[in-house]
Amino acid sequence: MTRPERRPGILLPGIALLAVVLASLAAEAAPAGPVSVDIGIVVASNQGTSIDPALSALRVKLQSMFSYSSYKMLDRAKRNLAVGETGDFALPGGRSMKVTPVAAPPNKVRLAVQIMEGERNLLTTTLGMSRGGMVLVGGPPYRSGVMILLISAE
Amino acid sequence: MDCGKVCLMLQDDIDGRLPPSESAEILLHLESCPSCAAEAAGYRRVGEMLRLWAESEAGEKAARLDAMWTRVRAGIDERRQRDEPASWWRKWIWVPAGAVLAVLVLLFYPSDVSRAPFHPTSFDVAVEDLESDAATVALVDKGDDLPRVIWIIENDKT
Amino acid sequence: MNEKEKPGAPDEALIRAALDGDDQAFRLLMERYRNRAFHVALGITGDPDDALDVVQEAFVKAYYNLKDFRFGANFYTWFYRLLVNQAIDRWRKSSRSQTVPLDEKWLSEEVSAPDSVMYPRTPEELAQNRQLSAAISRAIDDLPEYHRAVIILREVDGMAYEEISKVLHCSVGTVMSRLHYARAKLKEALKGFREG
Repeated sequence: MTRPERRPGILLPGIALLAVVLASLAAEAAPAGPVSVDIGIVVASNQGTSIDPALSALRVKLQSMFSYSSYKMLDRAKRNLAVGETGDFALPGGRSMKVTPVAAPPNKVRLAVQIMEGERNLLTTTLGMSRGGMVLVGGPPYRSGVMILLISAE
Repeated sequence: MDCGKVCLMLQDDIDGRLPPSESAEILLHLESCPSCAAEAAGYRRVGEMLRLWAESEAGEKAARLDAMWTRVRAGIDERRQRDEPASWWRKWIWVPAGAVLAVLVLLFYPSDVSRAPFHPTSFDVAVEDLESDAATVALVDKGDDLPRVIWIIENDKT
Repeated sequence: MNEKEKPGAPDEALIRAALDGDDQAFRLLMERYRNRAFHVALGITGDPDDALDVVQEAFVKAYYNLKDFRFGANFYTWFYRLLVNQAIDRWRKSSRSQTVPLDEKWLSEEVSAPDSVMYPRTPEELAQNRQLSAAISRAIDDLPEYHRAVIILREVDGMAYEEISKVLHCSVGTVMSRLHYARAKLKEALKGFREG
């Protein structure tokens, strides 16, 4: 008597599929976790040729985008913000910035950003990016150069 | 107490440096002498006006005072870089030592975000809206492998 | 929450933490005194932008000299010494320091009494009275630098005479005589503005 041929197992793949479905449902249902916002405040100028060590990975990109010879990091701030929570950042030259994570799909972050100079609204924007993404905001003059903000989040 | 003597003592009285008995005598004199009372009021007004003046000037600079830490930090970093030895051989001789130290720091100490390099994983950023009351704003794209740049051109500064 | 993070942590706790490399502790110390420091720097330099620069430079100097601070002494007296010297240096380098000697200028300038003016009661009211505000600035500017420093430390910062004498490295008697001189000169400058 021969053993009957075993049908290909369906139990294990079935459990795996169920696990994936349950995990994705859980991800969609779970409240969004805190967003870690990382802000670098840089002054770009043509005074000198130094580039802050924290910008070493971006050196070539900065040099291809701008014509400045020096990039000095004035300050660096990292904040964990819940969705809807606003982080305040002091900027040079009498300016300030508010960053608020807003609702976003999983693995994405959306940030509402406002930059003020006293009472003047210099910029209001909403940015959507993958976690670990980065955008630059620059232009306001500071001392002999311009201020450039490196905004990233995860 | 006569006016001449009172006028000489007025400032010491304002500064609280007279014994109570003399201060009381001055007060009595001022109550009946408008001229000396005006002198005393004039001296007190100096302090009041100076305090108001300092507060009014400070009020106009409130935002910049609030951001003072950014300026102080920049000054500290600038001086630190200036004080570092300039000669190239001194810089290079520390490279292997610095590498060893970096490995030890990474192994044994918590990471210091203020020194950690930026390592963005993506520049794919959607700019959903852009608004400004006091500037012209431009969105600059220079390629997929470069960050998007929002450039602010302040209307009263060129 | 550690000692330095508690609201109102003593200066010494913040200084110890800063000397251990805690920049946030130094920041707390800076934020505690920056407004007062600005008032003093403004009074001595006469210019708000110069005053901001002076405050920045003084705190940077304090950061690098903190190791010289002797525990038990008063931090703000120690810091104000740095600040006042920085402010006086800045004023000396500015064009405002190129003035005729004090007494000659007082003799040559006519104080024109405006129509009767109510003295302001608030900083906002003073800011609106440009003539009076300018007269105060001019009068302060006309004082010799150490007389200016004394009257600002006393009248604006409220510092005690003994503390002022330590900040300026002079006797209390010298503080008093400079203070009386400066107050008398400023009283003269304001006498043209009569209470309405």
